[in-house]
Amino acid sequence: MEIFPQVPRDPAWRPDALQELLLKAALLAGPPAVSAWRAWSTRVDLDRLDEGSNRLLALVSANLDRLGVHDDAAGRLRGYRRRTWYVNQVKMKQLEVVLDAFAHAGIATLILKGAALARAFYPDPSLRPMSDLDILVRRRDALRAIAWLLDQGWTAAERRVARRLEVFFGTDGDTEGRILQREGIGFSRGTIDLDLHWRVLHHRGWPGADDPFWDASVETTVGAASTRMLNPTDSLLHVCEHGSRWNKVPPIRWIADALMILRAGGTAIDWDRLVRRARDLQVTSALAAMLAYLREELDAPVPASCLAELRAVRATWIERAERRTTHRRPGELPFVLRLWFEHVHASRDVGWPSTLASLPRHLVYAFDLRGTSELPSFVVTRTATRVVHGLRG
Amino acid sequence: MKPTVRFTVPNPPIAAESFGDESVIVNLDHGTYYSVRGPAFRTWSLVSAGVAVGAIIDRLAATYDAPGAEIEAAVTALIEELEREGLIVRAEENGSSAPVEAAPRAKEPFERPVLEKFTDVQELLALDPVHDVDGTGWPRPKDRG
Repeated sequence: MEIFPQVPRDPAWRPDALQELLLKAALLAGPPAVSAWRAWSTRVDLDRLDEGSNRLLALVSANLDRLGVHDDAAGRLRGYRRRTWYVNQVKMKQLEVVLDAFAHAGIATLILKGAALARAFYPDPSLRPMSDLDILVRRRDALRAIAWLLDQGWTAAERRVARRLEVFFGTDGDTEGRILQREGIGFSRGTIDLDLHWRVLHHRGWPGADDPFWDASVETTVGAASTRMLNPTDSLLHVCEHGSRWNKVPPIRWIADALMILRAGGTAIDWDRLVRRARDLQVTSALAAMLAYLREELDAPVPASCLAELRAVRATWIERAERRTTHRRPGELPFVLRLWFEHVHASRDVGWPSTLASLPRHLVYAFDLRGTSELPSFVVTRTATRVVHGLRG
Repeated sequence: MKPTVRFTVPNPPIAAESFGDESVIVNLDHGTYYSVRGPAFRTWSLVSAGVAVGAIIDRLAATYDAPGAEIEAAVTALIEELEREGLIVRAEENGSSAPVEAAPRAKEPFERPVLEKFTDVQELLALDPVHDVDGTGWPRPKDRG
């Protein structure tokens, strides 16, 4: 008997019918793209678009221009593309400054997501909107990187983290421990948001989990600053893992990102490595479903042998449980259950006694409590709040 | 301005990109955004490719239906404005080495070339590219009158 809910029939990564039409208008060639655009544009009001679809408009604009389709929306779509180009230019300049400063401080960096994907895999950087600047540093360098950002006027986007950094950073080990328990911190300065990460994937925080990513990363530059990025195979894995998780903005952009990696990366994709890394990181089942979707719906060059290998892997119980939770919006599962999954996954290889012993501290840090003595009352209050919200519908 | 003068685009801090019949230019030191369309787009395309001023004027005179003196004055004024804005700088060598595309058969009506300039970065970033713009798209806001 399964004690966890089933994988949702429509997981977060799967676009709905209209989003799928827009993706086809953005990514396919020739008549299929044109007919998808016609079908989409007669059913959707551009003014009432979800944010996930919005993020595809630059790609749609370029594809329609290429296909010679010019209708009433062409001007606004091209404007979206101009804005994407402009914003990306401004953000990349900021990114260059930060990367250069980190390099001078001896902090190794690796750029993730938009900044890396737009330049390495998209035919034109104006086609891939960047929301945050995503920089990965090694965990041992995280505190120095945070100190520099704070010194330069960046503030943590999350209020409670900002408060903690403002009052305690650099003054007590407890705060530093709490910070490093996280996977990263989001910062902002003016109109620019920057996510500083010290883990590549969610919850994969066991010692050495990220070493293969770093070891196989490739050199790149942002302006005059030298940095690194994931190789094409790891980029594909990262895009899919990130896109598999529920997000308030529908994460359908993973489909465009993955397809661009497959098209540009081509023979550079090491399918054996992909299966090996997916198995090690326990993301095989979601990856298999997502790659199969790309192959079937968008004719992506994903080898059938890779899908067969991924499907043949018997997912661990924690992977199955995680897949049943991360595809859902927060609140659909008891929050303690979600944290339990996270903790067990992050505590791989330490054994059950240590995992259980460190759980209270994990919860204290996750809820930003002062100590374990606050846990019982917090859990009761939080559960009661959820129940009341649930009863009110 | 001498007809043999050529320019280059100082990159960084200037970045530019073409979108169909429009080029957009940004000064990354302060985020100022520029747009050139029509004759200004053609002028920018040529001047940023290193074509000498005299050759640019000849090219536009072959493209547009207007007196040569009017085109020369307008193009020279635009190039001076581009230089004042720091979007181009004089190249050390004079001459005309960059290839010039063939002129169209029928001449087009001439409009004074305009360098559109948007200086308020916050306003640019706040402008919703789908909902708050006119039919030509971002960054031109919808007329709210």
